[in-house]
Amino acid sequence: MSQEKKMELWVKITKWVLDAMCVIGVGVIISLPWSIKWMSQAMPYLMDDYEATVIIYFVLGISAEKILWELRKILGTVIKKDCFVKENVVSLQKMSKWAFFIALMCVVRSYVHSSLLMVTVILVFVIAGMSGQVLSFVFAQAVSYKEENDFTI
Amino acid sequence: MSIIVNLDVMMAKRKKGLSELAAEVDLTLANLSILKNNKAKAVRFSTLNAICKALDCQPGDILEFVDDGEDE
Repeated sequence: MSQEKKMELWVKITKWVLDAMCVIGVGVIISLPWSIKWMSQAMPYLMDDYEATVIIYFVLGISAEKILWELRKILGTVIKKDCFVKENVVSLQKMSKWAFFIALMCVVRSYVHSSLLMVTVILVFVIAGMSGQVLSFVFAQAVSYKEENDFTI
Repeated sequence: MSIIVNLDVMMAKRKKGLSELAAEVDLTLANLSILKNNKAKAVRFSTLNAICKALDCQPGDILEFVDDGEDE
């Protein structure tokens, strides 16, 4: 299989997974008031601060959807074979900010109920936010190189 | 500082149109327009060579340095 075909296949699979995650995510966010009650059968601590838990997970869900949306936008440019554009730099910066925001919300969540899992999630999203920032700088540099190349006559 | 491309002036002097020049120097109309409208970031020596040959002029006739007080 050629490199291009491999790329197309991976992009298609990723797009499909992202689309599915976006739709499922919306469903999960809407069903939070009921799903948290249902999940509390296995994890009773979820009912300790029910309202706060619903609100925090709602905000976390929206933030995750925002990240997925930006990822879908970036993937759209990859499909069009024009991914080194300023819009993707902005998307990566937005994704990074949302990742930091999720980490912050997880810290807030830790005040309501702290667990080792939350510490892991915080670490993952802080690293994701930092990686997003670095990637946006790399992309900005690539965009500037591409522009210079495109405007060299 | 900025480098101004005076391609339109030379083209008018030699009475040459954009499409005619584009065909002579083997450039696309879009790329020649970028150059003519001062949107280009760089010019290859090969392009400059072809333009000077087609317009029978010197690089200095096409390129002009203007000190606008800004450092890039």
